[in-house]
Amino acid sequence: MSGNKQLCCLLLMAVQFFYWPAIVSATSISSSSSKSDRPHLDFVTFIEPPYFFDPVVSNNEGLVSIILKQLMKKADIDYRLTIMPPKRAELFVQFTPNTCVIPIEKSQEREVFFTWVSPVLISQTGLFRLASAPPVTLRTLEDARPYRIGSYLGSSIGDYLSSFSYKVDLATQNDANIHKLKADRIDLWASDILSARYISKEANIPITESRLNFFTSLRAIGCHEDVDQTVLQAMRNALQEMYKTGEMKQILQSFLGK
Amino acid sequence: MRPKKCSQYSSSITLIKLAICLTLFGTSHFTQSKETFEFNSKLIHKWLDQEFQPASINREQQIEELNWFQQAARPFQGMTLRVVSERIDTHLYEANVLAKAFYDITGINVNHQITGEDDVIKKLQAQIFTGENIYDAYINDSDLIGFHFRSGETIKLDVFMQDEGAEVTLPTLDLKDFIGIQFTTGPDGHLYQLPDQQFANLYWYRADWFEREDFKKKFNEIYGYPLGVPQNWSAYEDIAEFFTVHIQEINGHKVWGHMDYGKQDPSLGWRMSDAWLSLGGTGDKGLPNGFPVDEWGIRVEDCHPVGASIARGGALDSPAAIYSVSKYLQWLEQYAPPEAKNMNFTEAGKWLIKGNIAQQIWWYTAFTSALTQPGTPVMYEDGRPRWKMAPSPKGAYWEPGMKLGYQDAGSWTFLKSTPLERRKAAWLYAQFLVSKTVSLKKTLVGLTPIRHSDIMSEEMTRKAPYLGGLVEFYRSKGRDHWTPTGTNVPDYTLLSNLWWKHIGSAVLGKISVSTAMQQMAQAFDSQLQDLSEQKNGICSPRLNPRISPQIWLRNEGSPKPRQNEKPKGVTLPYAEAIHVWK
Repeated sequence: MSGNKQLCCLLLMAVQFFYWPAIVSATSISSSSSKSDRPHLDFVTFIEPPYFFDPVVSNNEGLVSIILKQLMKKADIDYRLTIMPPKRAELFVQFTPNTCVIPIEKSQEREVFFTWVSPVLISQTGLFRLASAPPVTLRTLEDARPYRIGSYLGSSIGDYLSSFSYKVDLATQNDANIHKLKADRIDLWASDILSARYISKEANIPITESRLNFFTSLRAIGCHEDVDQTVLQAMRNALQEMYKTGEMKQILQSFLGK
Repeated sequence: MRPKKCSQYSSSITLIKLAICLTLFGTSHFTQSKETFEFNSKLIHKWLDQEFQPASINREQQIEELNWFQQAARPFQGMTLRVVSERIDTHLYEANVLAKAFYDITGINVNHQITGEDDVIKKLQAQIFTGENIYDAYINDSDLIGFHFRSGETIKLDVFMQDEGAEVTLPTLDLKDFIGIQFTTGPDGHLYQLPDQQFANLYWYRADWFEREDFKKKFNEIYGYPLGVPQNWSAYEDIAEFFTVHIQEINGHKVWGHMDYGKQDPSLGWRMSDAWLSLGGTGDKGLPNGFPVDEWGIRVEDCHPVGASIARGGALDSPAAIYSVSKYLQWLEQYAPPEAKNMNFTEAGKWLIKGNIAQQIWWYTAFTSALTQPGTPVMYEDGRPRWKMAPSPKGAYWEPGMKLGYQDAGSWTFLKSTPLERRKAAWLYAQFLVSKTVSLKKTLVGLTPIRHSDIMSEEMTRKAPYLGGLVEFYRSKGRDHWTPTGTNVPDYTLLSNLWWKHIGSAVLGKISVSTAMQQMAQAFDSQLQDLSEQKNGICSPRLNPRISPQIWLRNEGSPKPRQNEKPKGVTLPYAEAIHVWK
């Protein structure tokens, strides 16, 4: 085992010790079979309103929570959900058997680290600017090259932009970026559109967005490689059924109506 | 209808709700201020003056084409499209320059997204899985042709062009001018994809080092034959050893006789599935892919895949396949820079420009543009490259008549789940990017030619000495004989995952190469069995029963029994080596 790998394992043991007890929701899905007959999975997620709200500050049920609940009910799998910072959640699942992370952005770089159930959501990433800042014209991503772009640790978009040598400034959480915009520490904010609009509204800091949605992400469930194949297949079958029957659309429309 | 649902909210709900609707239902992008677009003929002239020169057609013909695009696009003005393609120079040029031009000329905005090739095919797979219109079009390698013609999910472009897409089909598209159109046509005769860029996989070497008299003399003394373009893997191996072990340093810099990559990553799969086994001699004779056993080691009967393991008549776990992967791994460990083992395709691709690699057996011509940038160690001061490309050497099991190499044909692909009006608009964008107005300039930027008229142009003649052999290759029959993955592979996305997972385990030393190939052959058979059960449609898999491998190995052709795997090395001077293209 390499030194780096040993260090990583030690860090993850620490992560498990400090974070695993912080379970925010545990399901108890009723079924005709006894609970012990059903498979069980431990999920980790991260705070990303309106996909997932911080339970400390909001009683709202995020879109991801709703989809996951319905998916697992349909797949007949028990689960519990724990919150971690996004990067930590990603690493935790890579090294912890019988765990899955949701809603992680699926990418070629991450492909080998997980087994996938995808997509649970399809999201767009855009570029945002403080409404009070002088306007800039962004017709293609190349037009953003002169600017400082904010993203957050654990976002595949931050990695994506860095790989093209854009000037990327990573925050620990996505919501910090709107304050970095205001403080003139970044010029543009690269974010999932839905999250950016929510964060802007909550912070009461108006933003403008370019016409350029430069990346489409498949948000997925990424599971540790040892998760049982029959459990994964049950989730995949349930997910496809949700799309085919229109149930996924109904969930989205219902979420909009709240 | 999806757009109607979104519009229901537009007057009454909050910004957030509209955003959710637009994001999740995949309609056009969201803007806070609606821009108005006015057609401006001056913009056509601006683009012609500033960007679309040279071209294979004259200026009047270019104006006529662009006027046609302007008129045909009128019903779609103001629409925003989403398309996706892999990360190579050609597509970056399209996304950063041509998408702007298309908007200026037509009023159709295009978010042309760039991502990894594996991500492209996973998104295409997701659109089929969900039925949601994630993208309006994909530039997807023709390697998926086996899936496209079987699946029923992909638009038949020949039918579309004559029927519902007739009024948005460019009169001067000239399909016969596309050099890769045979790769994107299914066995049923239908055209499923339109080529956008092409590149081949060839042998790359430092011609300046190979021409040094002191190196020639020393090589002959050690190996007993001349230093030159290797014709077989024995010679490649000798040359790799020669530079890594015997030369070691040139002008005070450490040099290596080989470059490759081995990181567990989807791109490790392409390293193998892009015809490596066929170069080793795994498949059968016959172009484009070997018949009845192809370059993936899959046997077909009629058009039905019947197995990949020897026990079912395939060759994925045959001695030739094990030899091919063993050589890859041996050279990676013995002759490549130590960092290579932890690199992926993109990272390794940048390495040659450092100027410390003598040769690379598996090299994509898509890197020609990057490797001809002036001022680098691999270029002369007069702008000519110090390197050349040549036909790849063949492995011990290869025989004349077998596949010579791989070619990638990234091609426009449209799915039935994309609404018709959006598909029409995306078809306009696709045609714009391959139109004769644009194509030659795009070829000069990305060096991934798709049109005969471009490759035969005077401009390409002028550029030929500066491109290391690219023009010579694309003017030869080589462009027809270097072929993409064929129609034997019924579901590329599903099966391609198996390559990197199993080979990766061997690279990491978790299992031996022979065990990896045996496990992969079993996994292939299992997936083919699943596919045969899921869909008993056109040319679906029908597995052969398992029998003793010895029976298959005794038969003529692939799978072949073990042979002498280290014949004497053979080399040729460059001028003779490229005869195979002619």
